[in-house]
Amino acid sequence: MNLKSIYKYGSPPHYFKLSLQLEYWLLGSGTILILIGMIGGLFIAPPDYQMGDAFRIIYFHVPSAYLSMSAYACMAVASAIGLVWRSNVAFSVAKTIAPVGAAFTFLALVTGMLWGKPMWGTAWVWDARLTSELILLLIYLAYILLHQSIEDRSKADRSSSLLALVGIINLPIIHYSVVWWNTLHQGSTISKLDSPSIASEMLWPLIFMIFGYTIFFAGVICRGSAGEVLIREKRSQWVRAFIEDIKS
Amino acid sequence: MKESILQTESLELFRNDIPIYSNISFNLIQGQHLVLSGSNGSGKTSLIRTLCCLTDQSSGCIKWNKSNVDSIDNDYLNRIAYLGHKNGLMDELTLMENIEVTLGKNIDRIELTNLLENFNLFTHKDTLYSHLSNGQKRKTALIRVILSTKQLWILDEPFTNLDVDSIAFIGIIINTHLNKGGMLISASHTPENRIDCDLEINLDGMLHVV
Amino acid sequence: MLFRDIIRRDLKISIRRSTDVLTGLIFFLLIALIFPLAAGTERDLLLKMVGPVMLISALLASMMSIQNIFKPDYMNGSLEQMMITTNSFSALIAVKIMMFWMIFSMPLILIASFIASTYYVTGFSIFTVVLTLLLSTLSLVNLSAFAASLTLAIRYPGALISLIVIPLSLPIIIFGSKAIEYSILSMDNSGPLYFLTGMMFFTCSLGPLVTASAIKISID
Repeated sequence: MNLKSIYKYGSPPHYFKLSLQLEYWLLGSGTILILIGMIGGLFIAPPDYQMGDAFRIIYFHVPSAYLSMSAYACMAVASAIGLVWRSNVAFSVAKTIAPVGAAFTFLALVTGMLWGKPMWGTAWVWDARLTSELILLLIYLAYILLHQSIEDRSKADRSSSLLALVGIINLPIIHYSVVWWNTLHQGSTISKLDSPSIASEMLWPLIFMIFGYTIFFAGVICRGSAGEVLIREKRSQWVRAFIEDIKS
Repeated sequence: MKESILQTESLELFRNDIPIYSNISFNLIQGQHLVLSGSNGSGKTSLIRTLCCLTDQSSGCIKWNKSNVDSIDNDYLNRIAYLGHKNGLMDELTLMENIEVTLGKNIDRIELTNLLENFNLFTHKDTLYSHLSNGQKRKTALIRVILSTKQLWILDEPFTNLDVDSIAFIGIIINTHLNKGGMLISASHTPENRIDCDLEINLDGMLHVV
Repeated sequence: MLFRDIIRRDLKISIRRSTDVLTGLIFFLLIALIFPLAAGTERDLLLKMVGPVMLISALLASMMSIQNIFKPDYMNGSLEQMMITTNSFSALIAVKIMMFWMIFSMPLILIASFIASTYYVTGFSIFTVVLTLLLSTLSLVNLSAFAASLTLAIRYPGALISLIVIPLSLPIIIFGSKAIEYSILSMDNSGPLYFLTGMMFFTCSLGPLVTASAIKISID
């Protein structure tokens, strides 16, 4: 495969065009996959032996949780690329991922609490997973607030990228500390999340939902990062040409 | 011995898409004095900070002795003494302590005494830095630069708050420094306080407006 | 600038600018004293609480004190001078952080031993409290220094420093509290202590590097 054809997407004008072209495809196919997953999960899959229909929230909780963590990983990788190569495209992607990742984390928390009510009786339980998600939300918020508080855009990009990198290194440590802490209190939490023995009729809608969420997420990032690239590259020739095109 | 030379090529800086300075190119060799002039806000301080490697430029490069200042083995930063708007000295220490702490123990004591007397600071050498007047603080900072035995002095508005005698004395010091093979870059917005210079870059009207 | 000069200077300054460290220490003392007043003084309750109270007070105290590690130097221009004149800025930052830690943790340990005894901790457990605090304050000081350097360019950072430090310091808080708690219950607390030591080495080696980078970015 010709690597150069990939490298060129690191440069702002190519990235801009590509992301705007891909956006609707990604959003569309993501939505279709989510719809298939939803129909499969909400209607076709049989009710669970232990929890009845309440388990169906797994189809929203698991993709959100998985995406919240992988979005942070993507943000950290983009931050690293931005810091090392001083790439405006990478900084734009990182900045766009932050609020979206935070939204998914929030969704994971809310669906987790909605699931907790029928299962454990109370909305919030100091479960290892939920607590880790809450901490992840705080880490996202720290990134977003830091970026917003610094006036100079280039400084803001670089400082928050540094924070994202320190965060990703600490994230596994934090997660496992919380898991360790949790096993001391609740040794016998039966969590459907952790059990690998899920029936295949229940599994396939979950796979669809996970893929659908991920592709939809990529589509959301497209337009946001394209806009951020435009802001950062305001002075260059291709932006001026693009604006002329739009005006005419 | 090869002569030292500082070269810049097309330095340009943008902050949040606002142009600060652009198209700055010059060559400065030993014994030369470069003056950056221009009104307030014309980008002098930012340019000086770039020359000290504190602020990174948006494009263009700086070369010391023909090699890029960013390269690992370049000893550019060991050759400069910088005086910015803020004096870089600590309020909680006395004047002498400030000088000793920034320059180390083995400074030229005779030279130091000479400078202190000429600046009328000898009697104040054990006063707390925060109790000095602004002019006295500035003079202390200048003493720090003069005694640092560095080849290139980079001074941002060195004469703020100074009286006429001190300015004249500094003029003599600078001439001695240049004659011994030193280099000087200074920024000033008042022409009458300037010392004779070999190169001048006027930053007013140099902006490359897009 | 030789490190010897920096150490000498930092010592002189911290004696004269003593309010920085004192603020943190007094804060530590006050919070640890407030807990029994608020929660009651039953022996079991206090013994259970001593670990978390020590760790959290140490966290808050170091966060408060460390805000003055870089800001005054940034404001009076000496941080820039240090950037230009030292060959290894990260090493200088490491020295500064270590100096701060030494000045901060020595009185902290004395106060903590006194407070631990008011919480009915006896004998060998007081030594554990001291050891845990030594290890955890090293990590906490490095994390707080990183947060302070990120927000150096912001005029009123407010709660941003806390928002950065507290999630990152959660492992230290969790394991530190457990180390003290296990020691009080006469259980084997080597696991948490090993973790704290590992965390200490990790933060002390990487902390100065990221703090120096953050300062370079903020000064830019």
